[in-house]
Amino acid sequence: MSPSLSAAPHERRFLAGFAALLAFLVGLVALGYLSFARMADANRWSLHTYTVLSESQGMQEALVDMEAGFRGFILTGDAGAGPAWRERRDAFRAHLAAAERLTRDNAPQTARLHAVEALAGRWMAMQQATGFDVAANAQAREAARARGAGPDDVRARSAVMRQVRRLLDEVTDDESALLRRRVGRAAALERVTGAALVVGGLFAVALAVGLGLLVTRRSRSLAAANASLAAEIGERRLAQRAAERLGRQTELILESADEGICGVDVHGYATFLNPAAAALLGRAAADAIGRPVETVLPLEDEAGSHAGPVRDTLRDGATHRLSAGTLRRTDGSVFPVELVSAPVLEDGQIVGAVVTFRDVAERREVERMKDEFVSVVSHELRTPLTSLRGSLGLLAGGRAGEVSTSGQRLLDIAVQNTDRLVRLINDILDLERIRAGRVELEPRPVPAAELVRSAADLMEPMAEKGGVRLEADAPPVRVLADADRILQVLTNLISNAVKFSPAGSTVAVSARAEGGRALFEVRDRGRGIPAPMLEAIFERFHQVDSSDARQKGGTGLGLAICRGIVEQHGGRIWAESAPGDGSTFRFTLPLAGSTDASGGGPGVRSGSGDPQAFGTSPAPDAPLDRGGGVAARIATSPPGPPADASGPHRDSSDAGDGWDVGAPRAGISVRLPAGLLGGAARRVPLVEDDEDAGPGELERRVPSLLHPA
Amino acid sequence: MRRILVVDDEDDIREVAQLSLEMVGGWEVLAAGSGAEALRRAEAERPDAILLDVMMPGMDGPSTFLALQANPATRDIPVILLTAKVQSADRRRFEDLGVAGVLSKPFDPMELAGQVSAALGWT
Repeated sequence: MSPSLSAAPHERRFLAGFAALLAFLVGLVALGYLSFARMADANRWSLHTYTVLSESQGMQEALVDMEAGFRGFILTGDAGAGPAWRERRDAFRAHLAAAERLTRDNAPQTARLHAVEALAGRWMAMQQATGFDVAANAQAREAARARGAGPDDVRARSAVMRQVRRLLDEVTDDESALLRRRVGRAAALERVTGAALVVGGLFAVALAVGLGLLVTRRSRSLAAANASLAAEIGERRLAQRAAERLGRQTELILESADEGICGVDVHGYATFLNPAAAALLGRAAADAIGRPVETVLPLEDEAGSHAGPVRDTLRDGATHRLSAGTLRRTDGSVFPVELVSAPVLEDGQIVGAVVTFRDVAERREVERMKDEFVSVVSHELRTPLTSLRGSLGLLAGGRAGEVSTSGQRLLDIAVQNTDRLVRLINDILDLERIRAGRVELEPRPVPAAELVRSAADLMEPMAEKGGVRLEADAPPVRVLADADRILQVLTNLISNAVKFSPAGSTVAVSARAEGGRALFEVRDRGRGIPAPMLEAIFERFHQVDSSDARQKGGTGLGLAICRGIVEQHGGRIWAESAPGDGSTFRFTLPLAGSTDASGGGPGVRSGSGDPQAFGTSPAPDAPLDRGGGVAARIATSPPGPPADASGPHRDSSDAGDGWDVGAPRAGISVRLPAGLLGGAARRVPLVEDDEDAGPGELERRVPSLLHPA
Repeated sequence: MRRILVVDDEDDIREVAQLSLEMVGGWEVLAAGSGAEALRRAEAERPDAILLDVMMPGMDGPSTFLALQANPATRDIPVILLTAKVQSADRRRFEDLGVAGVLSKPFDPMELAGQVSAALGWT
């Protein structure tokens, strides 16, 4: 149970109890203070009362003394009586004044004292009327004694004296009564206070004990909660430490990575830059964070600066690659870069991207040197091969005299392998040019059906020879493609399919529009390709079975060339296969937009001089046979033995294979569109050099296409 | 009998081409090892066609062809260029020069004659 769940009611009860106790104690203290104040007040009043009584007593004593002094004078005529009387009179007045001062707030007392003052004044005046107090000689004293001895005077004085005494007694009684009342009230309060203190004290003790119990219980549950919290914190700390360790490890990996790594949030702002990236870009990692990816990773191309692949990833959540880009450093210099932008997904949501990139300048240079080397070597190999192949060909062709049967066999082997070597060199050069980007495509809108049918027609003889049926099927879609190059791809794929198809089976070639692209397909019923090889076969010199190269006569470069061509078109090529149930090779090409469909210019290429060139064919289906005349003439017109008729001395499947010279067989060439062969009969470039793109390209390709990888 | 002049600085290749054209084509073959020699022989012997290697030291194929064109005595002789290495721009340049055809090396000696015939429209 979590301690926090019961905390609220406990807390409220505890606080309520505490507040009640506090209020009660405050009340008790107030009561005690009131009681104490009352008692102090009562004491003060007692003193006051006693003082008043004392003053009253003083007054009475003074009056008695004055009476006694006056009577003594009447009897004796004592000369000292006058001064003594005056002294007592002043004492009386002082006492009276003090009493009046003390009872100013008590109206009845004040009234009584005023009456006392008046009566006493009258009484004293009676005595003074005798003149005794001012008699200066014996004669005067005698006269005064005589005046004061009258019996009426004595009575009158006594009556006044009694009134004064009665009044003073009243003052004394009143004051005493007041004192009794006050002391009584104080005593009652004291009793109540005492009882309240006893009861309150008991109650406070009970409350304190209750609160103590509550606190104890509460602190016990708190202690339990603390213990579980401490355990939880301990666990958390362990987990945190593990996470930190992992984090450090990850950080170390990122920091040690040789590749530049840049993290980008979903809005395209940089969140992370590893040291390699910072070094490559010439920018401090801290400086890059928070900047838009276009600023941090400015890719350069003709269109300017951008961050295309990264933005693409943030938009579609897919991985985007840039195999040949250019990045600008902060100092303005640029370097070639290979870049991969991968999405960072959380619960299927795109939350950012991680971009890895590397400087490929050095690799490019090495590759360039390698390619150049390969190119030079390959070229240099061709000169001796030309005379070698020529000499062997003439010998094998029986043109240099009769050769024995075994000699003939040896010559045929030599010719075949020379051809293979030449094919290999051609393919190497071809691939190298594609990879180096030195093959310029001339894409035009082309009917896919035309490509499919042309390729099927080209390969028909080979299929026939292998007992394989070729099926071609394509709807009227138009693709944006360099027709010769795509024919090269298609014939290559068909050639492979035929090679690996058992006799009597079918190879289907088709094209269709799918997902905004054209999808080409070559399907066979051969032995299939194991899944792990499906990607590898597109690499150079990679065949499913290493013995294939010899048995099937390929160079191991055909599919690599196909991939190069398709990718150069912006398409994708891949293979699918169920071992034992054949393989399907597919590739995509961009569809020709409707605006392009009618375009195409005056000819396939400048210099072809043929107004009926492929690209401008008014009827997509028509031109397939139009060039037949030209091609047929090329292939069938040589005097002397026709190419295919080299007869017993030649393996006809290798006729012309790998020779740039071509020698397309009649059955193949007859159906080639005129545009593909390139132009006016007068200048039919029968055969091309080893450099690409031209009207005569296809003728050159045809032979090597027959037996690619 | 057709007479054809084969021009190549590589002796072996020239000889194979010569043998091929003689044996397979059944033609009479003249040979020259350089552009200058080709000009002399062409003017002197007026062959029916010339098979001209592109890459030669000194006067190369195209230059030789232009020189042949410049000479009224040889300007009508059709020329086929034979080349192992041609840049695509060069190939167009060759075509624009007005040659009868462009063949590439290595060639199949059994078919060379046929290709030459096709390019020249010989039957």
